[in-house]
Amino acid sequence: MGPLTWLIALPLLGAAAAAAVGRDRERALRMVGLVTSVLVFAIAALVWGRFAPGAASLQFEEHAPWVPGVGLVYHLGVDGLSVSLVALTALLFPLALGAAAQQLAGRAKGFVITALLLETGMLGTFMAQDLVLFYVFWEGMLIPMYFLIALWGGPGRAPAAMKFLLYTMAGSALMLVALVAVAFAGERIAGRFTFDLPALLARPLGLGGPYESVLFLAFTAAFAIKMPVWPLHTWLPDAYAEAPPVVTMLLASVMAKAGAYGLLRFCLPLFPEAMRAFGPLLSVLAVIGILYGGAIAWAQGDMRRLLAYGSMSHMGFILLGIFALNLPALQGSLIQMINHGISTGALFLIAGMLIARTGRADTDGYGGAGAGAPTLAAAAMIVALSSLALPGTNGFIGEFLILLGTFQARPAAAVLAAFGVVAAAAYLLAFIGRIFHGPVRDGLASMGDLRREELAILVPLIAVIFWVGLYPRPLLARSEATVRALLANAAAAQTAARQGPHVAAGGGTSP
Amino acid sequence: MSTADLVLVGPELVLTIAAVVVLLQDAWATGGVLEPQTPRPAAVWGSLAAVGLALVWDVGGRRWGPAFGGMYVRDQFTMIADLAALAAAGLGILLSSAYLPRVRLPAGEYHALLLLATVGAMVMAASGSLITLFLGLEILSFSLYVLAAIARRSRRSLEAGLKYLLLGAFATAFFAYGIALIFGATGSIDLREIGAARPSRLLGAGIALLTVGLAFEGALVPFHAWAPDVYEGAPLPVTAFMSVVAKVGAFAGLLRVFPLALAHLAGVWGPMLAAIAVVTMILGNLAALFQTNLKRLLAYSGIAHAGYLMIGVAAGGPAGTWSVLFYLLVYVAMNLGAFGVLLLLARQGMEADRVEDLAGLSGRAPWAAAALVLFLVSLAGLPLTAGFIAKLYLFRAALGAHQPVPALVGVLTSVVSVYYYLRVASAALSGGAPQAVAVLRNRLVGAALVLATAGVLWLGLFPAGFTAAVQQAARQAAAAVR
Repeated sequence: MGPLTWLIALPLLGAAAAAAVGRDRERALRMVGLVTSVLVFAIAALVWGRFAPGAASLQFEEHAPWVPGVGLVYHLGVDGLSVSLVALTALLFPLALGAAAQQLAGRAKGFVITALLLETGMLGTFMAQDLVLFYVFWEGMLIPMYFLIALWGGPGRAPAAMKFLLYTMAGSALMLVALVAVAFAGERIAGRFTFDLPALLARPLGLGGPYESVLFLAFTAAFAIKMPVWPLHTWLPDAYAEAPPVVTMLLASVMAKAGAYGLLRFCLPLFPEAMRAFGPLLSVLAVIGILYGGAIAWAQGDMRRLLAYGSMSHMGFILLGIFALNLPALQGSLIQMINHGISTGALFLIAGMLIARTGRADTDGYGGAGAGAPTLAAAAMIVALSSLALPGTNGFIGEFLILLGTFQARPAAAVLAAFGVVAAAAYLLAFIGRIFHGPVRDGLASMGDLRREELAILVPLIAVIFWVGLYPRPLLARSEATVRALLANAAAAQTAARQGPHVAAGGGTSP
Repeated sequence: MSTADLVLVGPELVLTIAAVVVLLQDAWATGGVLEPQTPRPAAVWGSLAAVGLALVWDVGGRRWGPAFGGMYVRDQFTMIADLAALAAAGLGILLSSAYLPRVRLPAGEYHALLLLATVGAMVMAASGSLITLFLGLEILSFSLYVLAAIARRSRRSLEAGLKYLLLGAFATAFFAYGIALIFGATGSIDLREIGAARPSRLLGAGIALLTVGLAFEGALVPFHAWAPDVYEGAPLPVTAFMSVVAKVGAFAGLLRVFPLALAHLAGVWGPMLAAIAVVTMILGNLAALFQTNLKRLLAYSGIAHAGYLMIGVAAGGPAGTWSVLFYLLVYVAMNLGAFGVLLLLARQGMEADRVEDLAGLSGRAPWAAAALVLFLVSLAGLPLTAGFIAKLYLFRAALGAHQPVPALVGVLTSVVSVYYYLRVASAALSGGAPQAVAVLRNRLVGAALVLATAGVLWLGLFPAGFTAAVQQAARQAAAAVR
């Protein structure tokens, strides 16, 4: 068993261990969760550290037959697209479990088990190289997430969890049919039925035309709902607001990334022509999402909804960068995926800490909280500044590269998107101002500053913020070769498509 | 009839003899008492032993070939279908062991009829001629009629049995008339000869009537109307067993007729059966959304699953055949598992069959609650469970047969089904336990749940072995009729 299998197996083993512990031994349960996720992070950090930056291909590959009769393979691997996302996911889980220990006293057992199952699903999603294996993890993370919202959420949790589940499942249902269709297309070209992505990409699938567009849309619908892309975002405010804050952090920091990652992992290499053809449309949606999310966030009184719409606005930048289809924009999108995970995750954690102290989520109920909790206020300020892309923090690197790349491809979109940066400044500073500044509200002076364990959760995130902001080279170097290769392949496929008629335009089995 | 013939029908023979012995032993032991108070371990263990022996004979024997002049066919296809039927019987016996004495159902008759119904499904799977198919169908459905009405003191049980009998007899009449028309058109009742016959209008009409009979047994729309009432009225363990064994028989029969015997006419019946599949999936899933009674909910979910199974039949070819075979075993495990958890509950001595009866189950019986969630997730077709792999195979078969519509409707209705399955799962995981509902502890039911859980997980995570087996079975069966 290689390190990647351990990344999947360890959380499962941890969940099994937690299942064996009695439900009233909360300390032991929390320790199981924490130790497991720290071990997972150690392996992920090792993988990240040993990853050879110059190579475009998959590393740490594991390949074993799963169901040979139907072309299913157990194929794991990381490349420049995924290695940092795996590390991010593994970093966030110990922090989430640590924060949950304080926010969810009394029902630890189920939470620890479900969260560890979720970790398996999320890590697997970023490592699977077989279409069905990917789908298994992709859907596999939905079910724990549903239960985390439905059982541990706020008063409106049941409908919010169901809405989230049905929305995301409806999107991925079509993807299931589409990925079977892709495998059949691969069989026509290569004569062998397989779901293995590298094997399918070994030669051009020759889809082309409306058939490629249909398949592209089926995949993209699944990814766009997860991100979410405007106008498919309506599940987001409810789910983000009703889920417990640590779960919201995982939703925003990891699950949203899975959508963006899917576009790069599957849509770009499998459907390069459709990726180009639908670029303008999706860029428009991205810009709408950036501006709409920013504007709505500014008007929210509930801090979780404010951050939820803000997160959606930031995801718009990532989408914009992906469809600019050039090196700086894609690199910016990838690094912004990490940044968004860190900054938005930290903001949701801070919101959770505030709610745990006062029991209220509306920003109007606060004011002058900085007087009683200066360290918390300082941490919130740093995170907010990184989220609105202040130079020297991680957000600047990402958004700058995205806007640079987009400006080369679609100047108008880049100019409009830049207003999103202004909107982010408006709502984030409003968030900070309403909560931490101004006259001190009753009881907030004695709110209590960060405790040691809370500090231990926020410090690693703030460290990453400055590290990426000041020295982004290691991150960018890890993804560069893969992104170059992806773009080169897509360009080659497009030229081939333009020069000759499609090998099987419309396809023999096209519906 | 030779000894070789008897060896081939050995599994059926074992079960039939066991059924007779159990029935006689019951008569001798109880005398004239119809509702004995004492539990009857002999009936339980005797039936289990018979199922085990049949299973060993079936899977371990590996003797293939036609018997009784080709009317009976024992091949790998039969073996896989028998595996599903015997799994249903074994789990059904284990699951009912606590319920029968508690509600004072006649154990002897119950076990005898259960074994006979299993024989019926197995004969259907082994049919080489329409007469064998008819015999199997009758053995299966007659046993089920009586089983549905076995709670003599319950009006609802009697009503269920009567409804089932009347409508079932009607469907059987269609089936018999279909055989007559097919015989008129082709001059044969042998499936191989019918497959080789020239298509004609009379043959088509006969096949359509045949389909009515099988679709009734499988609860396919528009022949499903009996299912919710019968499922709700019959005693819970009967509902559980009936919901799976009838599907095993019906779909084994449908596979023998359509993808295997009539393979060359796939262009004619494919779209028709696909339409039935689509309508069945839509209606079953939509109707299940509004159910608050768990038995009715599982009845409509059973209709929906008949629709999914029909995707494979309509797709035809080896891929369609083996994906249905795979799905049948998976369906047995997950559906009986879900029913098994319900059988652990009792509301004031009665069946706990409302969604709210499940509330707080995770606090009282965490393992049962976890198993229930697993079965429901599998029924919804979500990954890491056998239900997902089984559905993936069906959708793949449909796309391979250029039938994208059933596959698309299948995935979309699966999303709908997530709503009602997970609503039940959430109920079991949250809330306070109602006072009136008691959770029973029973070793045999527990063993059945462990077996079903292992099946759902094993076929979901490591399906390669069984997939290879069903693929080979489908190839062998297809080659034999050509």
